[in-house]
Amino acid sequence: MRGKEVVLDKVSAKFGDFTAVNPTDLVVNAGEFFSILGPSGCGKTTILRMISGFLNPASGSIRIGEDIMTGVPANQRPTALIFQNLALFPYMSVWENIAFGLEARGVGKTERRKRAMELIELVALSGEEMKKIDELSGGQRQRVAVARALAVEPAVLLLDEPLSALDLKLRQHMRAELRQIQRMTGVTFIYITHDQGEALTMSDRVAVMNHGRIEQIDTSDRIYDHPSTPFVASFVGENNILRGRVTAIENGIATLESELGSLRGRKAPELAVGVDAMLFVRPEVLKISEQPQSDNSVAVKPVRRDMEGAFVNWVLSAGKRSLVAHLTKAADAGIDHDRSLHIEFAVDDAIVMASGELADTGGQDDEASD
Amino acid sequence: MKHLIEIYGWPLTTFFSACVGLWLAILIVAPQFFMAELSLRFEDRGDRLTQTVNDLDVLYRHKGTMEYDLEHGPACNTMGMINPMMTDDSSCAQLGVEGKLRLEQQILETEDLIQSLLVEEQNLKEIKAQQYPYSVKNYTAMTGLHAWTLTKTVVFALTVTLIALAACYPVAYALALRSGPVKTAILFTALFVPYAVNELMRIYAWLTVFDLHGLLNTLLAIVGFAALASDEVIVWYRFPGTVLVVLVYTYILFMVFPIYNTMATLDPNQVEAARDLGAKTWRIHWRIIIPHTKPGIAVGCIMTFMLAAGSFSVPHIITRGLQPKWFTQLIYDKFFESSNWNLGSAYSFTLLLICILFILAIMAIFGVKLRQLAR
Ligand SMILES: Nc1ncnc2c1ncn2[C@@H]1O[C@H](COP(=O)(O)OP(=O)(O)O)[C@@H](O)[C@H]1O
Ligand SMILES: [Mg+2]
Repeated sequence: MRGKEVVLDKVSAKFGDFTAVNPTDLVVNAGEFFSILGPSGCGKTTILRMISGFLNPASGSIRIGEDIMTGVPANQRPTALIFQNLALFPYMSVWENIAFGLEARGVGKTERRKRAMELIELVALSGEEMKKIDELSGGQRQRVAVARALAVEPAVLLLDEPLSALDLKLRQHMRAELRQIQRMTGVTFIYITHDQGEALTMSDRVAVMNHGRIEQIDTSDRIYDHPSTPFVASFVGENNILRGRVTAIENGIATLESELGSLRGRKAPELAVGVDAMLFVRPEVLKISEQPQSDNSVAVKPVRRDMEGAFVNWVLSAGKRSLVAHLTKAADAGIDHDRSLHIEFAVDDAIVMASGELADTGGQDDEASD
Repeated sequence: MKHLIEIYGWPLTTFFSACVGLWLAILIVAPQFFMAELSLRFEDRGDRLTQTVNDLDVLYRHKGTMEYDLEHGPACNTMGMINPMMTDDSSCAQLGVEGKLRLEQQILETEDLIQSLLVEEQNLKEIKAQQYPYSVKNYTAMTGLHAWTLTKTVVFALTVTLIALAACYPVAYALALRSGPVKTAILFTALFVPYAVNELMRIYAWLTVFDLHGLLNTLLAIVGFAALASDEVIVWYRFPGTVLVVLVYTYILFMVFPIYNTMATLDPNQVEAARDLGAKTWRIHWRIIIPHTKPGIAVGCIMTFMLAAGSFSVPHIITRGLQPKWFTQLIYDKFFESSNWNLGSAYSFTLLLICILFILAIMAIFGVKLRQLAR
């Protein structure tokens, strides 16, 4: 395995008085596909630029493998960066682009060309090696960028939203390809994105970031099922959010006195009785019925029913709140619009956390349009 | 054109087109055509027609003098002023009757001569009109000395271009890729302020540096290598380097600007990507920045070369006549000193031809197309 471990030790970044990244500890394992997910402007690129050596941390140190990177210039680090806009060289052909790193290391032309051709095969660009960059499609450019970065045999590949310029279909295809290349090469990938779908599908682990701070580092499943902050819960996936005050905590179950009555859910760590809190429950765990089976339920009126294929999305109103439920076709079949309805959920499917900042729902709309 | 009509409507578009057409016709095409035509007419200053015309000139003048003398007496005291040439009082005497008769006689003879010469001139003109008027003699008749001057001017202009390029590339690089917006603004102001001053003033300012008692010599005197009082100073105007320095200074903005403009359009990520892939600074310049900046460098070189090769004021003011003339000065002399517009035009066109060759050479060297230059 070629990949190396990347360790950030209390690394922070500042632009003048503005703190772009708060002191951050982070361990990315050797050979891992690691994503940093967060809304734009949260400091993701800044972290990447510090790892690649284009920006000096305001404090802390970065280690790659055994070596502390402080004072090591970008062109001597075992990293390769794929830029958000790819930054391919327009005056060079495809193979010259790919071989540029080798050229910079003084590798002879025949050897360079041979290695470039191997990489061209790896990224499925055979036959395109003599073309200029502006003669390629978006997906092909993407592949050139990957091959160019891999040519220098980096221990760590840093990818800054590399798929953001592609259309949806190509993006999904490239996700799979990047994942495959990562497996084949064993290089440590640090992948930056504001697209949760990308982060969740590709990564071994994901760090969710907001305002220059990492809020949670976990596997995709745990990020989705066990968000540790209101921001993560609202940024990743969809959630119904109810506000209220914690009135009781028992056996890891918190009771929230909410605007829609008393509801229960799993207690987040460090939650105390009496604090303002939020209950998060995902649309797909909600059940709709005329007669609720438990008291963890709310009376609702249907507003809209959108057929989405595998799922049916219900928009419901409860008092002034609007709730969303995703039902399977089977669960949807028995519901009668004209009756009074209830939603309910299992206590274990909801989570109660102390109130905190939520993700901008603009981002959620973005995701919905994907 | 259709596009323009959409934006401005047809009356304005017609007006604009008419203005542009007029400008082209009056200030570009007509003078160039006139000069080209002139340059192709060889005026042989030794031929019989020219001699006849000159002789006629002399005779007319001679006759005029005699007629004046006849009326007023020989010029010795005209309009109350003493003619300094006439120191001898006796020549100032009144003409006697005899003298008058003799003078009248001479005038008549002169008139006869003039008449016969006029006939001859007429004949010669007719002969000449029948001859084919055009030849390339003006172009091929350049003396060795003038050809040498031309060569030197071209070499100097090339040197100026190279110096300006060497000086401007780092400046443009710093402005375009290395400094923040504030620094760029300050540097630009610093570059621009001297150019707010009239070009002639800028050149004259250098005289205070190169003068016998100027800045350079004063500095030398302070260090003890010159003495101002006894005029033991270096005559800087004698060195061709002075013209080079002032030319570079005068036209440097024409080099900085095009280079800066193209360089500023380079995506900084390209530079970072190259560095990230392990490239050292010189390779980044050679492989990334220079290929991108080529059109700007080409335009800068072309402009600087043409301005330097065509500069009249700088060599005229700076050399103070202490250095051989530049080709532009020769052209000036042809037009305004020896009144030979034909040869002057031919010399101008020769210089223009060299400039065009230079443009083509630069475009070939940099592999840029006309379309790219226009960007
Ligand atoms: N060169 C810079 N100078 C000043 N502020 C910057 C600079 N680069 C980034 N920032 C600021 O730092 C924050 C984080 O930026 P960035 O890391 O690019 O965010 P992301 O990649 O997550 O979208 C943003 O608020 C941005 O405005
Ligand atoms: Mg970014």
